[in-house]
Amino acid sequence: MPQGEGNNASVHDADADAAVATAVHGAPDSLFEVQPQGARMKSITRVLTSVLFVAAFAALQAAAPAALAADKVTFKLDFSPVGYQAPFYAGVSRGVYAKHGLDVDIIPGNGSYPAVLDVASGRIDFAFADTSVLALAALKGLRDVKVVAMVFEATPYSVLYLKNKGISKPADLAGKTEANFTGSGVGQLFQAFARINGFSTSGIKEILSAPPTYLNPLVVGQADFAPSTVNQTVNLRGLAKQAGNDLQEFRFIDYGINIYGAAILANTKTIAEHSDVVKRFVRASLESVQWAARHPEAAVAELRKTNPQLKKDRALAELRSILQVSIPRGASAPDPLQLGWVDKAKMTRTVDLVRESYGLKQTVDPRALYTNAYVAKP
Amino acid sequence: MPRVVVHYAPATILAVVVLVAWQALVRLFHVPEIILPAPSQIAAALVDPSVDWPHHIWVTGVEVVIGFAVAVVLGIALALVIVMSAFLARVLLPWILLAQIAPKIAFAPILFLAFGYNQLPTILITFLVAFFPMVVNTATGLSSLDPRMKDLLRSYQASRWDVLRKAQFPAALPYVFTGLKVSSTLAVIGANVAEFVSARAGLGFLIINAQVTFNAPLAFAAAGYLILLGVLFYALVAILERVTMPWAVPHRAA
Repeated sequence: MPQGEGNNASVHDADADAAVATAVHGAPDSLFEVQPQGARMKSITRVLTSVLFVAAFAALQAAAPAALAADKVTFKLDFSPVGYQAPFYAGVSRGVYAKHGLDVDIIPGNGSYPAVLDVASGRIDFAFADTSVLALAALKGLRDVKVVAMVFEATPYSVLYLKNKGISKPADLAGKTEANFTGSGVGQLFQAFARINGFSTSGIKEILSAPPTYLNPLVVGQADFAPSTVNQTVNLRGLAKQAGNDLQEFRFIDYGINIYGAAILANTKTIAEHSDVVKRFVRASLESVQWAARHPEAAVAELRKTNPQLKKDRALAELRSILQVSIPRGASAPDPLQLGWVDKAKMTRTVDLVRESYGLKQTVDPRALYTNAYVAKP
Repeated sequence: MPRVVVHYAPATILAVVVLVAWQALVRLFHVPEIILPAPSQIAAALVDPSVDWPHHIWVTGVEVVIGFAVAVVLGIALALVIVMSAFLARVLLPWILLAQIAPKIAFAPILFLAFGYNQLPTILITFLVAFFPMVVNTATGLSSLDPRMKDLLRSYQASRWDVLRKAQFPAALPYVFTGLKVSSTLAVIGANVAEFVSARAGLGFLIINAQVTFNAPLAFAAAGYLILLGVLFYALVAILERVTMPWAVPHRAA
């Protein structure tokens, strides 16, 4: 895309056309035109200019076929490669994106918020990031990023807890010790979880550490619970057991929080200027999501082609937990485009919950946060 | 006993004792893998064929070498400028100091946003982390020549360039190598820091990916290879030092 680091067939074509026009019309003028007396310098400049144009034209000719073959797009994920991202890695390795004329460069991420900002800045064309984080950015004034396809129709957010610390229902979390990291989205939404489930967060103690390892205090029992996601439960249950802890979870969706999870995002400029690329990207992505939902084992095998360091069993368990909780219709939807549909009421709930949890006064029209132009109504 | 055995035996025995004690303590106290994996688990990860180690080591190695090379060339050039011109020294030194003290990890995301999610920002960060010792040490070395020596050379009609080439540079060499040694280890840290922020591959990428997937043995193994890379790199500089100025080495700690 022009605003990103990639490029785009239509843009290349336009450049090539301009170069052709200049080369064809400009070159004869300067090379063969009879020069007035004393205009030697001017004529040398013109010849040089023509040579440059011809060279540029040749270069563009050479570049054009490659650009026509596929549109290059950058796609930033929410985190470093993990099991539930398998659909996108499989989309690349199985040639699904290529089939739709796209050359996708997947970039591992380090959180949803940076990914949203990358798309807003135009440095990245598409991002896979959490809808509640997009809502937060929008409430804080960001206006240029939209959901172009939902992927997690239900949030994978979950409160992981140690059963052996005397916790069996959400209200037991009051007064316990929480593992968290500064700026955690789910950590903030936990405020709403507490209100809805009728307990106070005022007596809760916090252990804060850096994002990739903030769950470690929970695993070893220094903390009693942690706001996280369902895929981490399957990751951590065995490790917690090693430390003599029984790790369980309260899924947000089971405890009254029915909001959106991660989605594919693009900025309004991309949507306006490269609608065709967005359309193909959304279709290829959702086709890949459906394929992965129907063949999780094969999807993890595809993911491990580029990321063989990932453990097969854990990656598969992660993908399955996400498919079950967040993409329940993934395998069964008659048309993969239906998976991407955004429901206005649910988007409104998502925005409202974020507003409440962060205590924000500002409002934002939920309709400004998505477009259903590229997906199908279920 | 052969001398080589006598020379290396104590360090080897200490390493073995540490590893055995580590293994025993982890087993004895059932330390969870996520806190501290046993050496045996890390060893298994070090040779795990499902991890593409050569690729990740290569990616980080290239970043380190390029970032370090730029740091050396620009570091020496800046040092020359500073030593040759008091005016430019006044203008440039605050910026050099600022670049050194500024927290690179905090600015790294901005560099990726500005230059793209590729290896360029990584190399830039590696350079930024590694260049300061080169500048300071080279500048100190170039200024270390006895002024009387300079006067003597001048009295023999030596040009400024002659003095620099024949007296100041040789006098600066030990300082330059101190700078090279410090920079070589910093370059490894710089590349690692940058990969923590964004990377598709590399040892720093593996450490983050292992943390995200709670694979502590893999994180330790990747850190192990990173240390090995740094030691190798340092050793190369030390060998170069021996070759370049064999007269200086016996008097200094290697």
